[in-house]
Amino acid sequence: MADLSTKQKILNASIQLFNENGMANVRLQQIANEIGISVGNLAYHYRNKEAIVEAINEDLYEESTTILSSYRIFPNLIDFDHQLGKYYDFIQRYPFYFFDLIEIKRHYPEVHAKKQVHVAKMIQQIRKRFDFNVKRGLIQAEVRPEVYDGVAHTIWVLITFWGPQSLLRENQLQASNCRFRKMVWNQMHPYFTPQGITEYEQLILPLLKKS
Amino acid sequence: MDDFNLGSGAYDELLNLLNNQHFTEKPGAATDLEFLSDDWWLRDTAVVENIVKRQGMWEIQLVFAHYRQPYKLIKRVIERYPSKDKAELNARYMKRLAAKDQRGTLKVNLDDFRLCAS
Repeated sequence: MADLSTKQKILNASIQLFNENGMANVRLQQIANEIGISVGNLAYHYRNKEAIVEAINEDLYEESTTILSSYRIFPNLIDFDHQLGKYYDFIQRYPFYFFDLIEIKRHYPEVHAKKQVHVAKMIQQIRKRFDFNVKRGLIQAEVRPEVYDGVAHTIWVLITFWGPQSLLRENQLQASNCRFRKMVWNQMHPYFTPQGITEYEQLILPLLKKS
Repeated sequence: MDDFNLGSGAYDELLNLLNNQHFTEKPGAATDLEFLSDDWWLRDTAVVENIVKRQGMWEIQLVFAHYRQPYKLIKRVIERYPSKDKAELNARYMKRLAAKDQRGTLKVNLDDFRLCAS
């Protein structure tokens, strides 16, 4: 149990330091100092930084699997809003995962490859939300092929780069759950039918005002 | 061991199924539960096992007949066995499981058939 707890402490401290300083700027010594153990002790649990990154990635992979599994729980627009809220919490808790995208791709190709599996599923899900709502009569039928593929991709870009853009423009990751969700909904709004606008105004707008 | 990953095509189909579920699954109608009243008479039935040889197998059929009106009956094919002994043994178990009265006192009275022997 003691081992587990030290391992968890190392992971928690690493996540905190990665979030504050970026993955590239964190050394094992800093992580060890953060939890008050020696580097030797830290190396006993994780032989190097790669091992820590992989262990953190395992946890993040689990969390993002949970978010992906929250597809089509509610048969209306709330379903997507609900999932967006979860994406936002994830971004807030692990900003380094988004700030250091290129770093992960360059130095941790296995972590990056695993991440791509979820990226593909995420885009596919967003795209399928269009199909579902077209069938429900809330979104217009696709006027040209691949239009909704493009919008789904844009929404993924928005979700993934929300953290980095917030940091670049405002120098910190602002707590702006409502603004984030609104931005995503704005991508879908032009494609709503009158029925879609009614449902959006009745179900989603009150939630966006509340938060 | 590598984690199992659903391929893109299979995941696409899965999402389609989840989407379609909303359109194919409808709320139940009150008439869906009519079988409860329609089949109420089955509570008072005598269960008779019947073993029939068919296509080289011994088939267990259970006949549920109302103990007062024996012409009201249904027959259900339960299972098939390659051996007659096995079929007879299982038929007995199935009869006991199916009958409301496990002691088997609910019986069809021959007189209730109102058969004419002449």
